[in-house]
Amino acid sequence: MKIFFAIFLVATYGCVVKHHAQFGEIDGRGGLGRRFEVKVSETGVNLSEASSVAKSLTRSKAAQKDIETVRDIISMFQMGPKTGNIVFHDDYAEKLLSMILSQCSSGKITGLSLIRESNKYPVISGEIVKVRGYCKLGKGGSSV
Amino acid sequence: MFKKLFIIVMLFCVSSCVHLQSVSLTQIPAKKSKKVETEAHKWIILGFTFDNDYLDEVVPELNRRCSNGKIQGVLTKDETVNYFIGLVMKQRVVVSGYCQKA
Amino acid sequence: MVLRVFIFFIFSTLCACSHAIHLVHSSDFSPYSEPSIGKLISAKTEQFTILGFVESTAYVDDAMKELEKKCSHGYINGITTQYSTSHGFFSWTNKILMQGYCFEKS
Repeated sequence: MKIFFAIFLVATYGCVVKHHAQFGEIDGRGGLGRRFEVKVSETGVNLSEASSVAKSLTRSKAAQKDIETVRDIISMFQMGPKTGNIVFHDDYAEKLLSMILSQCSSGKITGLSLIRESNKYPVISGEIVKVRGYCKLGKGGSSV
Repeated sequence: MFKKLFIIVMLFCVSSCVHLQSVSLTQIPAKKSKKVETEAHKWIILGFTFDNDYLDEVVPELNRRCSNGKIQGVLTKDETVNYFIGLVMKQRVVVSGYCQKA
Repeated sequence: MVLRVFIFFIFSTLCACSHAIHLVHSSDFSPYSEPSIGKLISAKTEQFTILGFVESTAYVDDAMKELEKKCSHGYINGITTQYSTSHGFFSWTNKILMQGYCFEKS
């Protein structure tokens, strides 16, 4: 059983969950231009998986019960709607707009696609916001 | 026996159930001419999926259908189709818009 | 005993304020304008709720009005909208962050 669990953990290493996908206007006049990608992420924590791992580290039933109690108390302090796993900083996506414009200083951005996804690992996850788009060619045919 | 048969029939009935995960819409132009649409999908067996790269083909495909034009009023539907009690699923993104040519 | 203390410290760090970003939306960037001649503006509004009992989502409209006020004589493009939640004790705070580039009409 433990071997199966270990194999399962390895097999699901890096599983991706897509939460939200959105596409914007596509201006194909004169070609799409240069493709760019911008990604921001933060480490998320799965509390129930963390408590399961902690419980598996001890054989004492009293300690396992303590871990469950601690997990339940913590979850009372972390109530609310969740997408993916919880993170401890919510400002990791605030620089997204500046990062998009730094990829295309001309501002001629089109074909934007935004994906909110999670890269799942045991106990932790990567909470990712990925933006892909096209920077249209500037004057004189050079991409900026 | 009858109970098992009933469960099997119900499983087939709820197969290919579609669930809308998210939807978005950009501004709609006043002149709505040709509508273009494309979809990208990915099969998910037993919940295993390691990337969302299938979405990369959406923008170039839509651009091909509206070459040298501008696509506005883009409606994005992010759907999950469940074929067999969550063991076999299809993640599908359908994107449509109005193609404006000069 | 050592294990219990270790687990206590691990879980006490997990008691820190937790958050979740639900979605990030972006509008298009037309009419195309060089960002160097524009100004980055942002608006942030929140709604505190106990167990999800709320009557309206007016905080979203308030964020839009605040953004419009910061660019009253121009147009805004590249608007990104971030919807997130900060979790708490039987309560949470829904947050909207809207950012965009303001180009004043001369």
